[in-house]
Amino acid sequence: MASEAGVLELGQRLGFRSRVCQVTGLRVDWAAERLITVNAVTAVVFLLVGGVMALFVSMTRWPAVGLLSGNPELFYRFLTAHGMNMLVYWIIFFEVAGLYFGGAVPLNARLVTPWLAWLGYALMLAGALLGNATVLSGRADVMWDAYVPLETPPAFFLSYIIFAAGALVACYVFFATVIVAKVEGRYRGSLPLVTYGFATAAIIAVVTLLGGVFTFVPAFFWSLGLMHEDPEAYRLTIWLLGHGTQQINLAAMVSVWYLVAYLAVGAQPVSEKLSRLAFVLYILFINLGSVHHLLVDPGLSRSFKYWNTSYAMYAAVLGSMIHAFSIPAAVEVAQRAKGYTRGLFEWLRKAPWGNPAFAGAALSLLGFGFIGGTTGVAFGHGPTSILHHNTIAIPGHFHATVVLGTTLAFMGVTYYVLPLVCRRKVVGWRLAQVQPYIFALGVALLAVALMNAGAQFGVPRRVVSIAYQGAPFPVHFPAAAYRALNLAGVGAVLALVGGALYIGIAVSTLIWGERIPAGAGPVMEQQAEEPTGAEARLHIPGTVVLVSVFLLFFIGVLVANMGSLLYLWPVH
Amino acid sequence: MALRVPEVVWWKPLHLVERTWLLVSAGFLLLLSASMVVWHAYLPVDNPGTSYKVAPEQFRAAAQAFIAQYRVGSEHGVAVVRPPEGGVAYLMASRFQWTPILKLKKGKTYHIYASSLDVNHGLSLLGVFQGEFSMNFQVVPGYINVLTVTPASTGEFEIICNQYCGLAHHLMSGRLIVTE
Repeated sequence: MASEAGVLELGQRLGFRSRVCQVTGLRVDWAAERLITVNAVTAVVFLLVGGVMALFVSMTRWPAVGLLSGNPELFYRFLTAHGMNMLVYWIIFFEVAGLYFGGAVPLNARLVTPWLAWLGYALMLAGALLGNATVLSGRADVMWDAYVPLETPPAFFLSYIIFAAGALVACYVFFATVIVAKVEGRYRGSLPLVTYGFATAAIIAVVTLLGGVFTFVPAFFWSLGLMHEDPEAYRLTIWLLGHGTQQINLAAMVSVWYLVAYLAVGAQPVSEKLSRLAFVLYILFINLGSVHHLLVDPGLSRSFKYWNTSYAMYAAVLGSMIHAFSIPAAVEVAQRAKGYTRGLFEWLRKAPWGNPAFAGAALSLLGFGFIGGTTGVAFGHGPTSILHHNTIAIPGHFHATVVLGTTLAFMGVTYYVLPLVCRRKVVGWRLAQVQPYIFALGVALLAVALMNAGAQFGVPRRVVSIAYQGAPFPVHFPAAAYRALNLAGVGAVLALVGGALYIGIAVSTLIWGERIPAGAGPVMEQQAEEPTGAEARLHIPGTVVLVSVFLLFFIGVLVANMGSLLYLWPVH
Repeated sequence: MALRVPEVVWWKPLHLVERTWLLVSAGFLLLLSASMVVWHAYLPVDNPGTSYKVAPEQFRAAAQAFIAQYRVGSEHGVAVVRPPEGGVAYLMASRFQWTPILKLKKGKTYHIYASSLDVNHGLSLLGVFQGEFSMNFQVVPGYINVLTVTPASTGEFEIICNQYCGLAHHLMSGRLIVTE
């Protein structure tokens, strides 16, 4: 104990430039604040680039518009850039901002080696710029995954390697920050849950980046003509990377849900044990469960496919089932403690739906759970992949996870980052209040319509048009398939409006937003409140109803998918 | 508290409702895992599980020998081939065509050897049930994906490529014919 007290004293003497947050009472390291802001702003810039690409892609695949249908080369180029800017640059830059926040702020700690964090930032930026330059100059119309042996210039793979190296440096800074905070005695005991969640994301990121090494380093040498690369081995390793990164997104998104639930209604995890167990399940199992991308591939045995996608993946799904319960439960407990106790759902009705951060996180949770998560499990279950593989149902599914889930959660938390970290009053508050709803409605419509077009009619993904004009054998999709794609087009317009509003609000706030001086009063309508002690008896009837409905819906999605297999020809 | 260090001892017994949800979820997912064995045993539709490594030029030679042996005609310059019932049929993917046009009999089982001569392609057989529902398989150069299939309806079926394979990817189409 004496040594621990000594360490604590030493830590307190080691000062760092910081301020005390007037809302949370936490100490915010000045270097961390700068790095969080710069990484988040960079993320938003790439969101803008990816969003412009999304405009071209969605307006081309909307059959009634067909924007680039006369210029397939440009369509494939923009589709490649869309995937890279959204899935890689926007999300990972924002996650790095999240890591620096989660590593330093909740622990009252300093960010260790800020110069390394800046080096990581420079590498990521260089990788992202090289990637965009290579693709937009027309040298790599290959999609973000560039399946070997598709002709791809070395610069394309090199851009990923440089970007990944930068991300790895950011993970190092995060781990160093957490460990040094402990050594310097900035906190005692276990990590706060938000930091724990981001630590989960960072651990998965390191494993995933190893997958990136196995994928892109051989591919780089292959593209130089120095090495043979097996096409199926490339597919296997890129999905270790590709699916692993989705788990980084998942862990980061869930951490954001817990964070926003705390800031918006004062929700605290009902059981630290259960929530932490769920994060551990992500770490242990998800990187095993990436073969659901390869279920109809050659080169892998059926037993390996089933082993990998059954209990390996489902152990990770169990983690998500736990969060799907524990987050609404935490909100219900906090709301009931405030006196919203009437009926099953007064706590939910009286939740701060006018707070865009809360609305963003709640819609993200609902959309990810009901649309993205259930279809993810259903599409990877048993032989259902035969029905969906490479159809537009797949983009339908992952727009419900990565866009409706992760992106919307990140948009939501931005409405706290702006006043609390950047210390600017949000410009256009009324627009901000409706932004999450417009975006969520648009992406949900897009996702469901695409899944319908793919699952029922086999509409392919990654084609400029489904008219097949000039093809040797004509292809006729039924009118209902065109209707589904037209509906997706309408959803895309709403999503683009919601996305543009977000970028407009965030950028205007950073430029013109009123500065919030240190020690100023509340900046949000909804302030965090400390709930009155942990409940002895857990009274959450509303959550029980919600998760029961969710489970039934989940079973329904599975039954619908399995049932569709009965229309197919016998095959094995 | 999500943003604060938890109290010293947070490893506490779960509430009844938490334990119940954990058990229900775990049980549901275990059933889902177990169901894969059931699908494998009883569903007529299953993921492909047989494949061979092959050099693309070797595959091309075998496929061309197959086409020469069983050719019954041609459409738009693509050979129409009637493989033996219960036998092996080759399907070659290359930029940007499917070769040949297979002519199969309804209710008979065929082993389709699908592979690519250049890059990855996606074999997508459209409208297998009253103009709806597709069947999709990955076609990878260097590997034969063995698809043991029993056509269940008759007609001319459209085949497209649904794995991006190059700038004319959206023009890659073919046919599969099933007769009584």
